[in-house]
Amino acid sequence: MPSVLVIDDDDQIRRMIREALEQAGYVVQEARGGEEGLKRYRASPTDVVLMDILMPDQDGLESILALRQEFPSVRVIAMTGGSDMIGIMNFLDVAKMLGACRTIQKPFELQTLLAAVAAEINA
Amino acid sequence: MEYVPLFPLAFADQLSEAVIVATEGNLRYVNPSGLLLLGAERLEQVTGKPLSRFLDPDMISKLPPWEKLRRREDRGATGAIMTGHLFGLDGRRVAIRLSSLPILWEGVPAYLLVVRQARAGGDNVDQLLLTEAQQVASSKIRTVGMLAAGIIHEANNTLTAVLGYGQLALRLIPADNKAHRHVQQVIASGRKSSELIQQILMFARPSPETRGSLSLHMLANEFLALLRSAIPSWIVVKEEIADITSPIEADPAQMRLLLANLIADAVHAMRRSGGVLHIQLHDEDVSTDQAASDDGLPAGRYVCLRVMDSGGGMDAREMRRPPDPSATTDALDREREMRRSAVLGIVSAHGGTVIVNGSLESGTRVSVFFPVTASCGMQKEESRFSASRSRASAYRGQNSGFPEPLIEESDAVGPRD
Repeated sequence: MPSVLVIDDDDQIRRMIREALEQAGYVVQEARGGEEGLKRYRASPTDVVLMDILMPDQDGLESILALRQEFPSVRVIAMTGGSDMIGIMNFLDVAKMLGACRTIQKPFELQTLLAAVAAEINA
Repeated sequence: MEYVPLFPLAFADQLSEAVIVATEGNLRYVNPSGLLLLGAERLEQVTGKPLSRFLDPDMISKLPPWEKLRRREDRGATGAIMTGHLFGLDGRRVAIRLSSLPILWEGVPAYLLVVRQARAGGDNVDQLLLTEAQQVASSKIRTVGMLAAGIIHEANNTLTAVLGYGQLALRLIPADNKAHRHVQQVIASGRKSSELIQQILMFARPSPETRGSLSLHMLANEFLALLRSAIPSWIVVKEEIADITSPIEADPAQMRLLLANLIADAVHAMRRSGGVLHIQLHDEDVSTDQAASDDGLPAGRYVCLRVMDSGGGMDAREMRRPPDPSATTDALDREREMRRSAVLGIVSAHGGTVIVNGSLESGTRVSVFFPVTASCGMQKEESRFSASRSRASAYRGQNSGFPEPLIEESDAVGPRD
């Protein structure tokens, strides 16, 4: 069964995404932050990583870089509810530059999330 | 009048602002920055010279009369802040902002004048005011922006949970169950909030000035959709936006700012009494005859943006007067002066013209004319007005999180001033 690692510091959102993905037939792992996510991925790589950007310990941008350095073929979908800008680019633009395959702005429709995960698994 | 008893010269000598002390209408002391501004090298060149040699007559007239100063009347009054021009010994005419304070100078009542020159130099008071207004506005926006970014992040996360769990719950509830409809309503409300946040983000996203060919009707439609939720419910909004307008050469961000400021001013005027906010946008041909009667508007084709309130807005005389945020101590009036300053600055920078008609009683009509891009001027003769649509509706006011300068929180329902 295809697998997804969900990295998000917000418990409610992480569990909601887990439930939606499990209902859709995926095997799901969870991590509360970038460092924990990297450890879990090392221990058991998944087909897709859903990565939140604004997290307290190691943020998503840093975590994408770390993941991609160690696992160049990792498929990351970045997501954020943040509106912060770096120059005239927002965090999701930067995440793409750092190697995220797709980006999703929170709040999202579950259908959008599931379609993005399916597209990456089939890519 | 309160007098400052001591005036520390050593301190004034270090200031980057120009400091001038005048007694009985004549200069007594000028600090080094002041000498530079006055075009003098030594103090002796300016001491004893009348203040009227260096300042606008208008500014002189705003200072408390010497007689009153001498008799130490008007106790309790504060100093004045004003804008105008300074004339240097070298013949330069410089736009300045001047703060005056009554002091005692060697036991004699005197004016202490602190003078700030427009950063860019030159003699354009409007530019000085616009720059200051923009600095205040941008600092305010930065602060609001930092707060808003945090709030938006939290709001988006909350909405993600609301929408996500709502959709998960919906799958579990049979469609004929009443709870199914209730959850659908929760999801619909979540989506609506999400859309509103996205619209605010689109507006707030910084962009470098990009002036190019712009269809103002498209921008107006998009932006008005966002503004509606920030207009109090006791103000009826009537829009007549032509389905198409000729292209103009403009910066979209500046046009949004212009629209926001014009509407904010009309809303400010009607904030207590309520009324009708009427917004029109269409192409308009100005004939030679009209041009002769209109205020400095050459004949030709224009895109005309017109914002009307139904009473209490600025009148023609007020709009023509150079903006002066320092002329009032009332925070709301000062915001209004800044908005006016921004309107004049933006329109002037785009080669446009502002014409104000009406009166405080009957309502004010502010018309902004932008020249149509030359190559497109004759394209749509038949489309003028024909395709305009009219909507009149009362929008429910709510605290939408729109940047503060648009509608102040203190704009509460209440009796009119």
